[in-house]
Amino acid sequence: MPEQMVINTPENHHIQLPLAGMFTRSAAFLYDCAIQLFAAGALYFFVIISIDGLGRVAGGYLLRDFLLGSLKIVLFTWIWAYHLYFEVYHGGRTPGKKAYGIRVVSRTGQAPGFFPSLLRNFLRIADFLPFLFCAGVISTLITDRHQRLGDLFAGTLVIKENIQV
Amino acid sequence: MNDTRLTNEFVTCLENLESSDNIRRRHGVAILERLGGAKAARIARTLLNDQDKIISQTASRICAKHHEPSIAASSPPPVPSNINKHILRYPREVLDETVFIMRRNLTGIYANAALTAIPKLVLSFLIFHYFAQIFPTNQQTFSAVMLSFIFIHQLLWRPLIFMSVGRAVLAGFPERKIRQLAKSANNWEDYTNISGRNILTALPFCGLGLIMNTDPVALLVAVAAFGVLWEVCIAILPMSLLMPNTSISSALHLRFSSFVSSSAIFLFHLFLLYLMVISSSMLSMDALGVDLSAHRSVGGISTALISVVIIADCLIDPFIIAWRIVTTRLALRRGRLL
Repeated sequence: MPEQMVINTPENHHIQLPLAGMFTRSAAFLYDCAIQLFAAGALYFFVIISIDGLGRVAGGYLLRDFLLGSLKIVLFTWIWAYHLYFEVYHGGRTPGKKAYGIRVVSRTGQAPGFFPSLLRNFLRIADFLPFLFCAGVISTLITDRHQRLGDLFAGTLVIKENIQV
Repeated sequence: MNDTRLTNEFVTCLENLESSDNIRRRHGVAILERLGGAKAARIARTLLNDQDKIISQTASRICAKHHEPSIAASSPPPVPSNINKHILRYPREVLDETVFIMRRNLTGIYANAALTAIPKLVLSFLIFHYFAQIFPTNQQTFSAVMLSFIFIHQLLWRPLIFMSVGRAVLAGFPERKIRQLAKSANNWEDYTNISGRNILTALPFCGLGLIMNTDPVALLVAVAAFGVLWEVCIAILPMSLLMPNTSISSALHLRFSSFVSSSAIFLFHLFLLYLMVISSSMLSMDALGVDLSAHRSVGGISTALISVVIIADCLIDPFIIAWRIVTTRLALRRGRLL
């Protein structure tokens, strides 16, 4: 049976939120990574093929460099804003999390706000250290609410939905 | 105070209490204390264990004022569980469940694992620091020593590890019946029972060590054969902890009739875990200025890497034991045997 976070409301109701396990979370993350890489790769090849002939026309180099620079900005934004966008505007669920039936919530059980989501995703770098999310795994293993470092700082946690009773 | 005003005050109080702002919540609980009455005591009861000390103390004062000493003195009422049965449908859910069970007795599991891993830790330390002094010239001596260690460890020490760490894992199960099994002390009879069953996989594993330096194709075939054998025998040792009096054939039968988990997915995750621990350790040592290039190599493999692999094995082995017990427990439940 999964561990749960219990929220006691002032009306004396108890809301139980089952915590998501680290293997389900990592599977959802890999799913999201696959989507991100596929879309980024497709965009990259599309732009590279499109600007291939630009070097041969007058002023083409400038336009090509501009497009390559823009491409890098777009890819950077795509990689970093992907989780943020879905978590803030889709109730804490990225496509990967949706596929695996989990979601990010704040400690009060609501969808995370912009800054908590920004913080938890930025701190993914810290969770990755020294390699392959070692810090994140250790933190998930020892914290009460199964939180990685990003979750601890942002005050968020990942819960399971659609539990079959 | 008329009814409408009282209701409005309660609404304001509840809104404040539901807020994520602590100052508003403190204000809310202050209103609650002023309002008083049975209704206020009921609400205050849910705030007794609040993280904010001021709120929890005020709540306890409200409860005490309204002559509900039992409420004020105790923790919040037990949470009625509406998730009585959680169905594990996918192998990753079994892995998650294994981690949840381990977390319930993490200290106990790793204390036992550390005690029983002493031979491995000593070996790792010796290889890391004193390899050149112990094996100055002859690599074959090193291979012979390693083989002897594997033999002794697999045949004599491994049953002790399984018995000790396995019981610590059982202590983390949610069911009382299983936790009772964890209370029985380790004894010679159990050790001999587990040792006898352990031979089935321990001897082939030692055989793998013997052919390590031979033809790579033969080694690959042998590893695949061992994988199949391990898969078939997966429930034998856990069964000796969960149902000590059952025969080996029952464990084999159980493996083929009721298992929900997949060893292939488990091995994939195991590979990732080993990769994570080994690469993180090597990178951390490098970052801390440990000169890894100074270590000698055996058959092209750095001795530093060999010792880190041994340490990684010590860390991940409890998880392997826990997973085997959890999958066997699930199979027993599906087969309605325990």
